Formats: sequence, structure tokens, C-alpha cells
Amino acid sequence: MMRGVLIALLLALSLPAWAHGLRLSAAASATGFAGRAYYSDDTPAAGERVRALTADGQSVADTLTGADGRFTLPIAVAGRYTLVASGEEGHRSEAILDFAPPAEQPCATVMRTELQQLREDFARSESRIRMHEVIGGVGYLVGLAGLMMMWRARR
Amino acid sequence: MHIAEGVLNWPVLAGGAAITAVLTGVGLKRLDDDRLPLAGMMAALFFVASLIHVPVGVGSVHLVLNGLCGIMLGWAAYPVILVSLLLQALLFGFGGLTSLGVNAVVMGLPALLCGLLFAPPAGLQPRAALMRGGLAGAVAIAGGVLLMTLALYLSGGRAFMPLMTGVLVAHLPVAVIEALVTGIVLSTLIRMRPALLAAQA
Repeated sequence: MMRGVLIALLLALSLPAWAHGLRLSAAASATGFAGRAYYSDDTPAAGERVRALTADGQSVADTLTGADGRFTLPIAVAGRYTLVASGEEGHRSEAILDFAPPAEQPCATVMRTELQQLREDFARSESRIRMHEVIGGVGYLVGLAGLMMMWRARR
Repeated sequence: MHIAEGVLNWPVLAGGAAITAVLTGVGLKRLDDDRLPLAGMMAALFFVASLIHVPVGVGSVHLVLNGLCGIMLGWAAYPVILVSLLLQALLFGFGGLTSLGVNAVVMGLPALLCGLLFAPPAGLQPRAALMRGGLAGAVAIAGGVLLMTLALYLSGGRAFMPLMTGVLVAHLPVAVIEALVTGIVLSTLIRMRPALLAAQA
């Protein structure tokens, strides 16, 4: 039994890929929103539906992600929007973003693309499942089993 | 196989939570004192298994191991799965807190079914255990997919059959791997530690 657990742990830790859970990273561009949808193991979420909803829940833009998980949503009116990515299998992820049509200089556009890259890197590192979360979870389970044993031993 | 927050409508969420409350109560009542350590270990295994990911086509799916939980623990598999799912939701962001009940039904009910159908009788040969475990692993995944698509269908109004077949195809590799893993673990246990599997309620 112990060996089984150990093997599973080793397998889980040796794989660079961490599984499941849809994530969304997006930012406003000059013409709307642009971003990327991916699973928690950082594989791109291809062909997933992404919508932009207004505050009262109306869908104003609707698209599918490309093979690399990227998408663009054209928006015309300034305001606050909720981006919703949803997958076939009950996955869903949201982001709330503001859009303002730009009085734009070329330099600002360059800046935006640079920033978008940074945002994506940040989102990626934020949503990665880290070792200490795995160990913490196992620790909770051990503790819970221990608590229950203690409680039952008292009775 | 984890359904996220905000996908299902509230009757489905409430139904899942109610079923989970009842089955968790039953499961805890049927968990013997001397099987508690085993239950804790299975919880850890289930918790970690979701990180083992299998790439299929455009999507990615992960191991579940609910069949193994069912065989090893019988009724007690349900609370074990619930606790592991809670931690997966809190720490990994898989599924969500409101959909916890439904997700427990999706993975826990097939586990209970496997416990009923495939719990190994005394004196089972390792080879037969391999088959039995394999069958349990596959049935548990198929059952989970069925329940998950049912939950999505009941609250989404999407056509059931295309959704069902799409999700089922995506989970075929997982079913195969689960069958292998469950079969191998069960036959190894029968050979080396038959006492662990004896007398489960």
C-alpha cells in the first residue's frame, strides 16, 4: 500500500504537466480583448468558447480559441466586461476587465503587447500547482485521519 | 472530471449536495476504527492521483482512481472522496466549493458501485484480481462520465448524446490507464497483503 502511494507521488511529481482546471488570462487591447485560455498544466485550451458579457449579463462578443489557446474579442463600447471561458466538460473560468477605446499613440500599442506577455507569465506562475500545495494537502489528510482516530479512541 | 463553479444550475447543485450529505453520513457510520488508517491513505492517493495527467488530443484529462477507492473501502469510499475533492478544490482550484456535492456524486457513486460489484471475495487468485480490478477501474470512469454528462445536461439544456460521446471519447485513455493501475494494485495487494482487503463492510 505504502509503495503504491509512493509510486503515485513520484509519478505525479516527475511529470512536468499538471492537470486540469481551465484558466484564463486576458487584457484589453486597442480593439477589444485579447488573451489565452489554458489548462492548469499549461497545455493550451483549444476550441473552447470565450464570451464577453456586459454587467447585465448580455453577451456582446463570442469566439472560439485557436489551437494555441489564444483568442481575440472585438469590443466597441467602453465599460466593464466579464470574460467567460467555458469548456465541454464542465470547465469554466472568468475574468473581469475594463475596456476603454484608445486615443492611442503607436508607443502605447507596443507597450500593451509587452505588458500582455508579462501578464501571461504572471498568470501562469500564479496558477501553477506547487509542491507545497501537494504536500500540504497530504498533510491535511493525515491530520484529519489522526483527529478522527483520536476522537474514536476517546469514546 | 471536476465540474467548475457557475456551470450547473441550483437544483442540480442542491440535489448533488443532498445526495452527498446522506451518503457521507452512511459512509462515516460504516467506517470501522481499524480501517481508518487505510481510509486516510486512500484519501491521499485519490488527492494526488488527480495531478497525474494524460494528454488526449486537444484536451487533457487526469487519473481519478475512484474505482480503487470503492474496492478498498466499500461505503467508506464516499467520505474519503468528498474530503479529497474538498482539498483539490481549495488547493488546486479543481472543481469548486458550490459544485463539491455534485462532483462527489460524480466520482463517489461509481466508487460505491465498484465496491458492491467488484469487492474481492476471500481466496481470490492474483490473476483474477487483475481482471476484477481492471474492470472496476474502467467501470468507475465510465460511470463518472455518465453522471457528469447527466449533470451538465440537466442544467445546461445541451443535447445529451453529442456531449456524452465527446466526453466519453476524451476519457477512453483514462479508462484504460485506470483499469491497468487498479488491476495491478489489486493483484499486488492480494499477493502481498491479503489481510488489507479482508472483511470490509
